[in-house]
This record gives sequence, structure tokens and C-alpha cells, in this order.
Amino acid sequence: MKYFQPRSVSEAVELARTTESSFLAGGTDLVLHMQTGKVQPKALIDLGKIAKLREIIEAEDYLEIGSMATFAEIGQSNLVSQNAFALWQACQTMGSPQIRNKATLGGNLGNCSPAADGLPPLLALGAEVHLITREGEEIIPLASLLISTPLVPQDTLIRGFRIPRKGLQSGFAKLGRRQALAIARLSVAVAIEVKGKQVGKVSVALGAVGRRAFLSETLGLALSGQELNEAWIEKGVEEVQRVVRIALGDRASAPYKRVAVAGVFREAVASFIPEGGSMV
Amino acid sequence: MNTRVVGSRVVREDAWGKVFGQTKFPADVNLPDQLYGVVVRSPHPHARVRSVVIEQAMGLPGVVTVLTAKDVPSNSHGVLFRDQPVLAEYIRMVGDPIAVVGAETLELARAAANLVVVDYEVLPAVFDPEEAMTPDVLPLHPALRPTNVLYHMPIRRGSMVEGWARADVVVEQEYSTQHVDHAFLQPEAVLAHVDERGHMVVQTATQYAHYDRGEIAQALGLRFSQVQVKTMAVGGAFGGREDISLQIMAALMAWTTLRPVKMENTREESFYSHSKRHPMKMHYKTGATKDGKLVAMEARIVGDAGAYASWSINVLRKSAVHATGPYEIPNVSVDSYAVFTNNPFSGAMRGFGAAQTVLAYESQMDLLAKALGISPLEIRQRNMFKVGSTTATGQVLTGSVPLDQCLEKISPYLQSGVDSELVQLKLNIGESTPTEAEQGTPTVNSRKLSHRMKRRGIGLGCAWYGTGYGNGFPDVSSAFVEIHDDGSATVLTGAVDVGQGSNSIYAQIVAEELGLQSEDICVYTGDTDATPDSGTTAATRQTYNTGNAVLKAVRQAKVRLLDYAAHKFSCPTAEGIELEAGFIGVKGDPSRRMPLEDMVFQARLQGERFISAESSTALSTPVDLETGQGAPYWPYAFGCQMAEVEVDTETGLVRVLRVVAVHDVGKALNPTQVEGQIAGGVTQGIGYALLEELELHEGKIKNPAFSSYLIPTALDVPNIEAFFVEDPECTGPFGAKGLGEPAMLPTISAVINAINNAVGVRITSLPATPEKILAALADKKEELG
Amino acid sequence: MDIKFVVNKKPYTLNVDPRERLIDVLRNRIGLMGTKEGCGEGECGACTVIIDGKTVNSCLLLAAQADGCDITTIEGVGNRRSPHPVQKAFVEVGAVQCGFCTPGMVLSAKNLLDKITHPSDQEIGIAMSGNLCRCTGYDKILRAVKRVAEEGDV
Repeated sequence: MKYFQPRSVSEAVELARTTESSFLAGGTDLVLHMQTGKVQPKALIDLGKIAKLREIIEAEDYLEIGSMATFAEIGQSNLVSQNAFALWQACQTMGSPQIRNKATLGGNLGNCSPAADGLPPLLALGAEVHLITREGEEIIPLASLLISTPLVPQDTLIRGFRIPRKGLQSGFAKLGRRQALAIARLSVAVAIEVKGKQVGKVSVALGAVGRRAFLSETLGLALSGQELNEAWIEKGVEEVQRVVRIALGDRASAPYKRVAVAGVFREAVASFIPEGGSMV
Repeated sequence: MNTRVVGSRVVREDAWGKVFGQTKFPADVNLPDQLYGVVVRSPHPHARVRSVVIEQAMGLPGVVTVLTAKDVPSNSHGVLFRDQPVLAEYIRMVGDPIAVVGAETLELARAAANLVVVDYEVLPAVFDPEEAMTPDVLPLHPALRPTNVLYHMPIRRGSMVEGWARADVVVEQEYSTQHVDHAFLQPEAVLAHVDERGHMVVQTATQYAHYDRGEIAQALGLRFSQVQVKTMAVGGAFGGREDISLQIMAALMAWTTLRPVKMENTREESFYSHSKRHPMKMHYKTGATKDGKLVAMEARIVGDAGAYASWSINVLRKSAVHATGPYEIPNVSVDSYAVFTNNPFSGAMRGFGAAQTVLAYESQMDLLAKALGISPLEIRQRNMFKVGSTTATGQVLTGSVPLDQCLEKISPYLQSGVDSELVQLKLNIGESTPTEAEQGTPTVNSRKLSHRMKRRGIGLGCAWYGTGYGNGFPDVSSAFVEIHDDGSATVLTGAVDVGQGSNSIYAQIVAEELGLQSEDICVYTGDTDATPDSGTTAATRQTYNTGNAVLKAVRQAKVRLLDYAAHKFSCPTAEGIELEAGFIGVKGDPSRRMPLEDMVFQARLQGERFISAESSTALSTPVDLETGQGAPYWPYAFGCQMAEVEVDTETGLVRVLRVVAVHDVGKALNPTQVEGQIAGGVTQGIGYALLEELELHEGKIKNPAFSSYLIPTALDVPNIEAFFVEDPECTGPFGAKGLGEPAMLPTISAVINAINNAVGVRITSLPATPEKILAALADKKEELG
Repeated sequence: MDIKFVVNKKPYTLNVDPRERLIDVLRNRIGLMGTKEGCGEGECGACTVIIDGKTVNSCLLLAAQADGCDITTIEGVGNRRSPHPVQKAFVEVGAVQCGFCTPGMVLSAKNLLDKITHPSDQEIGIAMSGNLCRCTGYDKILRAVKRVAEEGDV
């Protein structure tokens, strides 16, 4: 097996085009899959030495998070907590400290586990993915990307994520069996536009409810443009249960998850709404 | 009794090596030119091996040997019966070893193992013990038993007719428990080689080196004197290292190739190569009078022994004996069964059959308390064992039975309505989510909104536990003691320290007796070439039993030393001599004393040595085969715990916020270690009650990994407050009893009872998963309309 | 491929297979047996090492990924003459039972205290949450770290 350690994005992209390689991000999934024989890459392009890919930058309209930024780095970033609170929250509880120190947001997307902690917050916050493809650079909404299979061609580099800076209030919660090292059995990310006592546009994304995390249009429509109060939360609870029921159908986990999602939704919302249901 | 070293918080002698990473576990040792062994295991739960084709594997350059059943001189091992093949031709469970490949590197051995072709005749398998019990299911061990019922223990005491007639309230319920893995952190590993003496030397981590030696010798056709089992550091055991795992295979390969052989399990292999905790179905019916006295109890307990006998007979016996809980019940009928199936074999695990029944009997106690309108504490106090009580097996409890003291100590913690937030928690770890952790970042506004759906409750659990092998089997421990010429001493015993700290306890005992510090004592254990057989590190027996042997041995050496000194100091009797702070002399006469080392050295010059060998045997009597009557264990240890939980009524998640544990230890030889055993036991109890479950599909383990078999993390444990009651056990060393297993028992029922207290649903099958809790809450809602 | 890194202040140049995990290189090539493998999937934390000031699971890392890095294993932390305060506290408080998790635990605690001198209980709990222990119930481990945190002179 060959192993490349490019120092720049262009070098990495060039290697991907000219060799039959897989990108290696933090490796917390890939190294494990290599051990078990689940994947046997012919060559690896280790992105770990490209400093640019780790950057978290505040642009005029959006926050850009490099694909190689680790969960620990994102979870310690004030920029992220100010602009993308739900993502910041997700980074606190993913895996363990050791895993957060190595696992990257780009790797989380690349591996694309149904329970990936990073994806629901990115979806709810309307993130776009910055790709470098054979044709050049491409910015594509994460929600659209998650519909395609395979996610990206082998030689496409996930450059980073752009999270619009719209002043959204957001929150994330996940249901795990334990308090650490817990794979999400359900996760919910909610982002809302607040206009006085009204909520504007609402985005709700769900994880571990199906093959990949998804943004629920139904929930967005049902919850947008209303007065923010306790009734709104209860409506959200009811609607999210309905969405999960439909999404899971007759899967073995459905009877539990379609009920339990209520608590997860409530906790995600509780991240930014105090008791009583109205904003401070 | 005033003691100086015993009872103090002596630092463990092995802890330094462990914090520096110097301590060698078996995976950490290697020899030049070693082969790597990898096992080929059965994917089928029940099959006959038609053929094993090894040519392809052998053809891989670097592959040295592939061993199969025909290569094993005597192809069996087992703790009670030798019913388990070293390498199988007849498969009774998924994971049965069929062949073992030896190659120059681990990678090669793994690759070659994949090339071994096994042709199976797959046979119909049985996974449900109830079904396996029926006569039309073919027996898995016809040579042992005509049916799959390996063991039936009845207990008959009093008259059930009379008992039920006296009962004003009767509660009846079925309970069940799950397969559980020991999940010790160090996977099995072994290094075997034939040394310059021509002896078979096996370095491994085991609970009982002398047992391993016997099984290796038997399988290879060697004498015990030709086999040395040397115990390396043991990375946790909990019963999972009692049976043979890789030891014989590695020894066989070393013996046949004359090369050192290293074998090391992956975590997945580990799941398949040691026993499991017995899942049990327990049908309970318990009756009480209206003034809260228990009068009748009937229980039927069926334990899934899995594919091999291992300790199943003893485990299900323990279940039966402990089925009543620590309560007086005059009329009792218990039927306990161990049944063979094609599931992974069940064996010893901390709690050993008493961990399952505690769920049932303590749930019954709360159900009765509720039916009678009295408190959980009250019903227990009205029925608890006291000195002079008679157990269901007719054993009269004499000596130390301080459950009353334990309950008294815990009662202030059971006041319902005490808001746990008012209690100053000493260590408030794991209380909240980490979102507020980082500086300069916004704090979360409020979590109260989601707290609305959370309910708190407290629960009480009591337990008792008979320590030692029990049932009349001679429970022997042995020790050698030598007092050195400089006044320090060495104790040798076969008793393996599996991490619980027994070595330090022995050092304390010897130091206490000789007037030394525990640093002055060298403790060497678990090496069959050097130490005497002291039984297995199980059954909560090493502090008590080997502690007794060590105490007897040091006292014997000391008697000779005192006699010698009496003579030296012209003191009429040895009674007048004392050992204190490294000095030996006449009591009360500072002029007639000298450093111990001078005395021992002088003795040496006169040809006198202070060396001793002693054994200590704990006694019990076998139970009657038809009535279960007898005195099967001694001593019994008692304990009770309070758990406070928070249940999320929307997600069904349970968090344990606080555990208060009170345990009877006779005498705490080392309070730090007592607290350590309690906290470890509580945490395993929480895992058992809430998290852990081996998921099986047709005998195959679906979650043989730490990412799917979940044990508690540092954030899942509550604030644990450990207390102990010291009511000396006259037969124990300095009054001590064991604690290892009892520590986890009350937690299980305390947590389950606390869930009931919080949200009004009773979980009767472990673990109490969020799914079960939500389903029970939904049922309750439906009932209430 | 050739890689270079520093382990416990000592530089190494090694020729490794790119598939080799860091844990295997540390244990089998360099002979540092204090790094333990308990699960092989980053759950138990027994293989924890500190790389460039961060704890990582060395079973989930290729040795090649550590090229150019500064690595600390348990062998690089304290000794009998001068134990690290965390090691001293572990021994004295009784945080050690079987000891298999101990090297990883010590490294996680040390790394926390290197970054935050007086961590809160919550910060301690989180920092130790990637290291499983089956013997102690974590109680004494957390207390040991807390003791050092309170003394604060690491």
C-alpha cells in the first residue's frame, strides 16, 4: 500500500486524480475498517499535514470550517459557538476526548454513518459543502449532497463546510445509551430564525433515523412562521414523532424511536429556549 | 483487637509498577523465535466436523503448524467435568475452537487461519433452556446426562400448604436476566515454551494457576512437576478466567514444535473464549401476613448453562440457596435447574448465581411492601436474618450476621422527599452535560424544560452472599512463610491477585504479626513452581481463606521465633516475648530487646530458621439432594444499598445519580481496598441493571465489541458513598470476611426499585433498557385509561 | 516508508508499513509495553498516548500519521524516584486495581492537568471519559485526579 502525505490541497487533489487512492482524514473510522478488512485501500492520501484544511475562518456571510478541523478544535472554537451553536454542542459529546482529538468533520461526512454526530447540526444550519472535484471547485448544499450515492467520487476532496451566518438560534441533542462513548441512537438538530416573539424559518435535521442524516422539510414547514411559545414546542414534539414514524416504518427500532424522539427534540430546543417557551 | 498495619490504608505494593506502565501482562512478554498461534473457531452453534483441510494453510510460507483434535493427546478440560474439548470435532457452540495455526508472524497466522477449510455437518440447535429441558430434545452431553438438564436442586422447607394458608398477601411474578460478559479489559494472552529443563512453562493471566497446570498436564500427558504455570499481571477477571481459554492450545503447540508460542485474543475472540453470566428465568411467588412477616415462598429458577458445564452446578446451587434473600421464611420450595443449550457456555461471574436472584427477591420485597402499605425498609427489617436465624436450607446462622446494622446505617438515606440536590455531593462528577465546560463560550440557558419530563426516585436493595466453594467441597488455602536473616519476610502462596489487591492484604497480615511494615514483606504468588496451591481467586475467598492460611503460617513461624527468643532472653515462656516495630524482646523490659534482624541472624548461626508451611480449610456441609437441607456456605456476607435515579419519561433513559452502599466486611483489613471493591461492584451492578446485554442470534454474538457491548464510562457512575460495618467474623483473619462479589449485588435491585419509585413501573427483566421502560410506561398509561 | 517521530523525548527513524498502527510500532518495534490494547477500536482508551499535547487512541492511528510528531507514552511520565503527581495520587488514593487501564488513565489525567491546572469535577469526568475501567468503578480514579487538581502544582 502506498502512502502519500501532501502538504497542499492542490498536491492532494493531483494525487487523487493520478492514483487510485482513498483520502485519510483523522482515521478513527478508516483505520478501524482497515483492521477488520472492511476496506482495503490501494493507497492513502493523508490529509493531516495540510494546515489549510484545519482552519476555521469567519467570512462575511459564512463561517468556513476546514474538513480536517477536529471535533475537539471545533468544540473549542468561539466562532463556532457563536455562529453554529448546535454544531458546537455536537462536538462536545461525540465519542471520547481521544476520538474528538483525531476525528474530523470532513471525515464524519466522508464516512457518513447514519449516526454521524456532525451532520444533523450542519444540515439544520443550512451548511454547504465545499468540494474540489475533477472539474474544479464546487459548493453544494449538504442536504443535496446527502442524497447522492456514492456521496462523492473517490477523487473528490471535501475541502470544508460553509455555514451561513444568519444569526440562527440552534441546538443539538442526541440519545445515547451512555454519557460518553455513545453512538447516537437518535439525534436532533434544530435551527430557528427569531423575529421578536415569532419564529421565522425553522430547520430540523434528524440523525440515526434511516441510512443517513436528513433535513426534514415537513418539520420545517410545520414549525416555521409561528409564535414561539410552549404550544410551538408541543407541536414540534408531535410533528417530529410523526416524521420519525414515517421514516422508520416497520423497522425493529421504530416503536421506541418514534416515541423517544420527543425527549431528544425537547432537549435540542431546550438548548436555546428557557422554561416557559419564550425567548429571553 | 488493636491492630497497627491491618486495618490501615496501606498502599498496594503493585500500584507503582502499574502507574509507570512497567507491570507485565501476558501480552507484554515475548521470547526470541516465538511462533504466533491463531485459533480457527466454529461459526455454527451445533455441528459435527466432517473434515479439516489444512494443506492450503500449511502451504503459506511461514506457516509452521496447524493443530487439530487428532493432535491433542487428551482432548478435554473443564472445571467440574472435562466436557470441553481443547480442539473440537463435535461443535456445541459458536466459537468452539477447531484448529490452531502456528506461524512466524501474527499476520501470517491470521491469514493462514482463514485458509483452513472445515467441512461441517450442521445439526439442529437449541437456544431456549425451557425447550432444551423437554425430553424430546436430544442431549448435548449424553455421556454426562441423559437429558439437557445438567442439574436440579430442590429446596424443601416447612409446608407450602400451611405457608400459603397463613399468607394474607401473595405476589407472583416472573423475572429474567441476560447473558453478560465479564468485559475485563485485558484480553486473554499466553506465552508458552519448553524450557532448558524440558519443562512446559506457561505464562498467562488466570484466576488459578494450579488448576491451569493440572489441565495442561492432563491434556498433554505430562506430570504436574513438568508443567509450570506462571501468572503474569491479571487484567481483571471477575470469574471469566476460571476456565481454560488459550492455555492448552499454546502449550500443545510449544510442546509439539519446541518453539515458544504466543497467543493473544482480539476483543472479539475474547468474547468467544470465556464463559458468560447465566441468563436466568425466575418464577417467584411470595406470601406474607398482614403484619409483614414472610410466610411462604416458591421459586422456579432455570439457568442457561450454554454449551458446557463449567461451574453451572455450583452457580445454580448458589441461586437456590440465596433465592429467599437474607430473610427468614419458614415455608420454602425452590427448584433450580441448569440446562445445556447451544448458547455460549455460562460459568462463573462475580455474584455467581446470587446476582440473578437478587433481582427477583428484592423486587418481591418491594411488591409486598406496597401491597401491605409499609415501607421497603420496614418489610426488610421485619424479616431480615439475625444471629440465630434459620435459612431455607435449614442452616442456623451463628456468628456475624449484621444486616440489621447495615440497614440502620442506611436508613437516614432512605427518607423519601429528601432532595438530592440538597445533599452536598463530595464528588459531583457526571452530574450535567458538558456544554458549559469551556471558557469564553456561551452557557446553555436552561435545561429545566427537558427536566420537566424527568422523575427522580430512590430504591433499596439488600443482599446476602455465602462465600467460599461451599457445599462440603474442601476449601483449602496454603501459604509458606520465611523470615529472613535481616528480619524481613517472604510469603509464598498460590492465590492469584487478579487486581483486587490480595497480595497487599497478605503483606499486611504478615507485617502485623511480625511487628513490621508491609513494605518489609515480599509477597510472591501464582507460580506453580514456587508457591503452594491455594485455590482459585473466586467465591470471595482469598482475603478470608488464604488470609487465614497466611495468618496460620506466619504465626507458626512466629511461635518458633518467640520460643527461640524466650530462650535467648531467659524468659520462662514465649508469652512474655513481643515483636514490635522491628524489635523483639521481653514485654515491658526495654533492656531485654534487640532488633529483629539481629535475633534472626543469631538464630541462623545456630542453625535455627523461621520457616513455615500452613493450610487453612473452610468447612461447609453438602446439601441433601432431595430437600436441599444443609449448611452449604460459611461465612455469609451482607449488605444493602440505596440508589437514586432519574428517569426520563420521554426517552426512557435512566441515570443513576447517587448510590449509598453499606457492607458487612467483618473487619476492613484495608479500608481503601474495601471502598475500591464497593465502587467497582456498584458500577458493575449499574452496568448489569441498565446497560449490559450480550445479544445473541442463534448462538452467535451480535455485539462482541466494546462499541456495542456497553459497560459504564466515568460519566455514567454516580456519586458513590461507601460505608462498612465491622462485626467480626470469628473464623476470619482478624475478623475479616470477603467482599468482592457481595459489593455488586444490592445495586441491581436498588436501581430497579428506584426506577419503580420514580415512575411507577416495575422492570422485571434485565437490563432495564429505555425501550422496556417506555413500553412499561405506555402500558401503565393504558391501564390508567 | 520512512517516518520520524520523537517518543518520550527520544528521536526515532523507522521504516514502517503504512498499514501499521502506532500501537503496534510502539509495542513491537520500540518495545514500549506500557501502552495496552484492550479493544482495538478506540473504545477502551488503554492505548492512549499523548501526541503533540493531545490524547489519542494509538490503536486508531497509523504510525505514518504520527510522522513528525512528538509522542509521550506512559514510559515517558515519571519514575520511582520522581513520580508524576498523578501517578503518586493514583497510588496513594487507591485508584489502581488490575492496572490494565492505568497507563491510559494516567496519561489522560496528566494531559488534562497540563492544560488546566485546577479543573472542575466536570472537566475531570469528561477528560477521563474515554478510558474504560472495569475494576474500580472510576470512583478512586476521579478522586485521585481531583486531589492533584486541588493541589494544583503539576
